[in-house]
Amino acid sequence: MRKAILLLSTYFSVCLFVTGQNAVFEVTSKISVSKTDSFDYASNHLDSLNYLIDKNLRDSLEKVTFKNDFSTSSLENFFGEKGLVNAWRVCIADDSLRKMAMVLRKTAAFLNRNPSRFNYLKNEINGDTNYKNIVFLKRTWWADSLRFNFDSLGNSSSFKTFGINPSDLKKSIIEDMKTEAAAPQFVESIVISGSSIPKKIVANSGYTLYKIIPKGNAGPSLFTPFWAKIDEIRTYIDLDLEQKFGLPIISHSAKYDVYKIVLKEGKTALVFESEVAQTTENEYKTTGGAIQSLVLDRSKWTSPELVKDLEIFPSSIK
Amino acid sequence: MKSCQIPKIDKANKVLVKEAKLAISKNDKEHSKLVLTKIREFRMQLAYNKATESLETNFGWTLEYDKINATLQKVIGLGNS
Repeated sequence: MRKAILLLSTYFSVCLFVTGQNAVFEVTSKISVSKTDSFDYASNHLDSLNYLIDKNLRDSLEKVTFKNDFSTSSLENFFGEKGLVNAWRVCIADDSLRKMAMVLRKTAAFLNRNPSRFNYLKNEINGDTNYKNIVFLKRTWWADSLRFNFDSLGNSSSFKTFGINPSDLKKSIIEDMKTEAAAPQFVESIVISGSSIPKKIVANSGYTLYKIIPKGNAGPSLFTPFWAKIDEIRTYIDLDLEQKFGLPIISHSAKYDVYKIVLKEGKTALVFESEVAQTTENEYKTTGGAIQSLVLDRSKWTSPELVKDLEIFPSSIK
Repeated sequence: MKSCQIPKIDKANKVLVKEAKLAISKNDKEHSKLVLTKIREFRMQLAYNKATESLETNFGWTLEYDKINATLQKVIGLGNS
């Protein structure tokens, strides 16, 4: 234990070199140990391992697995960087990911910024499909880094759409939209989310529209008019979904839940389809291009329902 | 209400909550109706703009609005006109 404390009090500068998905740690230690102090490196390693286990792990499976993973590997990085043990715990189901220094470092950075996402991340990483796990993690880090760099408050305050000017539309279209809308006074702010003239669609009962929401987040709000057809969402799953739908950064995610609304029995509604406009959020830009379906009176539609078998997991890695 | 750190929106939220509390404390039916309409309009204004559309759910306001609305509706059903 004394040696473990000595090890802890030692200054380490850890340089990380990443080669592909494997990482090599080069440890430059400034250890001030007296020459007369005989330093038993093997027992010191075991002390450090036990210290880390006692301090961070409660679950017996985690304890055994951690011991097996690091019985002969360097432990210095666990003392040098905050949150690496938690990152390892998140990845425990994946035999190879949890031993990759780069994976642990980036996952730790994510968890340090989003401590409440620990269980979500752990639940998403399973043991049978390593490729999907790494895609999931890379997308998680990507969405988190966008938030960190461009929307740190998570309020989309600099988000702008570059859509069609409402004054360029025929009056009849605006009038149709206002007639349909539950809040006609705000229709113009919807129009500028699209780059094309809204196309009027007469929908009958049973007409179904969908919306993607970052996985695990609360469902769509009571009044949101921004929906899409399922085919439109499917078309772009692996073709820059977030870009095509011009999503605000706060709505970017590794995976998405899908919610649906259905036009109620005996109701007809006007749905307005337009092409999603380009957007900017600080320096981050999206192209738009997908077709959105604008629902202006949600009272005619059922409450949003989570479609459990329709999880969206884009494969594109940023 | 959790702040979204957009001063204009936080201020509007605060004013609405304050007004709702006043209407509820006075058991004022007409005032409660008015506040209900104002809250609905504010939520629609947020929802109809892509930049503010998800604030309500992301900052957990939906539950708060639902609680306030339920209390206001009680006042409307029971209160003095």
